[in-house]
Amino acid sequence: MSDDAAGHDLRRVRFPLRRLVASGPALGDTNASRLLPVHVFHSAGETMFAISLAGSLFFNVSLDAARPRILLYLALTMAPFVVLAPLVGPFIDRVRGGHRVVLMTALGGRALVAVLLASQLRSLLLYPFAFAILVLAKIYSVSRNSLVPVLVDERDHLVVVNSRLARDGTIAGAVTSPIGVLILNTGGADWVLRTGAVLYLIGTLLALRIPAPQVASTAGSVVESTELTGPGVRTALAGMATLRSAAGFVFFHVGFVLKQEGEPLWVFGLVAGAGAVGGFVGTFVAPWLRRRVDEQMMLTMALALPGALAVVAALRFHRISIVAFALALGLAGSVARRAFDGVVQTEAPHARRGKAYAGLETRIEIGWVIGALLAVVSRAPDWAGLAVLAVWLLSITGDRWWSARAAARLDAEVGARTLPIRLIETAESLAARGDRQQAAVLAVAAAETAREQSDIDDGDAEEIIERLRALGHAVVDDTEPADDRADDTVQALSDARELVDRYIAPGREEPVDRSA
Amino acid sequence: MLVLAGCAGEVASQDDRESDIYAEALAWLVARPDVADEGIDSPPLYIEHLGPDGISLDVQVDLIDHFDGLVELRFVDARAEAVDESLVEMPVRDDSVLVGLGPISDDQPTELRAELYRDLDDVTAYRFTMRRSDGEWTLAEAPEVVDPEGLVADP
Repeated sequence: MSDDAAGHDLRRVRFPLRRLVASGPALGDTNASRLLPVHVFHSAGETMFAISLAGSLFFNVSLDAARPRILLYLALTMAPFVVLAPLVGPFIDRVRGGHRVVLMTALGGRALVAVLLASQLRSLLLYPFAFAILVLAKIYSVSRNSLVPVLVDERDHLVVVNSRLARDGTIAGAVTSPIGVLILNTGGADWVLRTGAVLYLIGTLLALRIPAPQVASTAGSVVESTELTGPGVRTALAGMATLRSAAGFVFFHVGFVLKQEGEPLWVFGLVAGAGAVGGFVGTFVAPWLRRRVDEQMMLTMALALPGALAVVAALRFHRISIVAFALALGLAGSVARRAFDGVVQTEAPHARRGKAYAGLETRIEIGWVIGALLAVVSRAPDWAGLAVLAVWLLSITGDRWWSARAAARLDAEVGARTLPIRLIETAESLAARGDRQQAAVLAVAAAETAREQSDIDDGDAEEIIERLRALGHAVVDDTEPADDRADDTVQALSDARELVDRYIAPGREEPVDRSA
Repeated sequence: MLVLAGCAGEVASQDDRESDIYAEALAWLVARPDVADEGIDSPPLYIEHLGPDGISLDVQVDLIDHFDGLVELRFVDARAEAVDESLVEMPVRDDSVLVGLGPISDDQPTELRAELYRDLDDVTAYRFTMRRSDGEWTLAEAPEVVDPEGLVADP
């Protein structure tokens, strides 16, 4: 579907509620459209939860006294998340209606905990309940992001659908905010939370309408796994996890610093709002940026922007610099998310199972937890925390930049001649993971491609390739004992690597003289 | 397990004692007409501990709960949290008051220092003497005005 067509469809469904929950393809994608109202109500509930914290104990107790408790609950409640989140994917894949159960558990659980928390906002039970809500938010995030790729009718819709979800989620938050503040001022924080619980509950019920995802055959699991662990996805995942960890760090570090500086509540709201606005703007900036640079460069830029703003905020910690930084971080997170989706969409076209995505999403969210823990443990002064964050983000930006340049230079120098190198490296990676058949086939392909691309007349090459083909057949036919197959694979890889090295050496026009 | 339970009980008992004594002192301070205004829009009363160890989270929560509806207590780690350091006089934010609470002595009757800070030129300090009778901590005598120590230096 073209962007214009998607944009046309995207404009079709707006508030009010009746149209929002209508079964039409709001996202240009029938199945994924059912997720939209669920996400909208989740975002609205999330906003209520955040506003209710203004009336909680958090702003009344001293941070030094609360820090051990925050650390304890952050560690305690995140432990089950780390265990549970990887189970989300298999549950979606294997259990009939499992996708609904996972979403409903995350949303319904939040509704329940929100009700319980409403009467405990001024007691020490605030901490376990608030962190329970946080964990359920992470599980919801993993579930939703794992579900979208398996729900979309067409793989090309992934980026569009995720953009629309993010955009409408932000709009829902913006619409809900003044209502939340009004309830806070008239009824109190407990009623804000109860309203949030109702919104979560509506989202829970709407999750019932989500159709079952398309069931992927297990035969594709190796291909899917190979695609999702390819270098492109791995690099994008590292960038995305870095940004999420920065977000986790900033959430606690800036929150603590603002409190220690005696900033009023509206400043907290302004910073949170700036992050949300940044995320919203990012959904528009990302497609514009994508037309100019590739997704990996988008991720690099997404790391650079908050890194640069963190330098400014570290040098001059001020309301304006912090709001600008929060805006940049929100924008960067949104752009990075679109870029990451784009990389997955392009480089893992066969990935259709929730399990594969849950693995990626869990790692991204664990990044958030690690960042949060570092902020709580470090007790860093305002400038120091932001300076470390800036150095960290900018050094990763630099590393990605130079790696991209080196790769581009290599491509320019040897062009298509890198194909055998990529093939043999993939073969070696597959063999390391125990997938000998694919490894053997790719090793033969690498050797043959290297031989074909070379103009050099080398007598024993044909002999080696013939031997390789025989080894490849032996491994693929699966007729030999396991030990022999393993030996054959190792031999095939070794021979193929030798041929590739002989014919394709980066930046050289002549074959490598191995004897020298 | 029993040892742990015993330790927890001892800590809880210590926290209860601290909560009761601080609550009594704060109640006397809050009752002063120039310290806290009743009403929804009244600014929070900032509390800083004058000792090295700080006030435990449980005691803070007890005190916040004790004064709920009367005055909002806000415990601070750093004075900058309560004081507007950008102004020469360094007043407390929102025209409020910063209360410094000192450590509680182990003697009987027990003593406690509390200081009221509005700005650099307006600091008052009191020494409270308290006695436990019928399970409750009460003022043994009217608080004595003393020289400020905790909130004058390096505000």
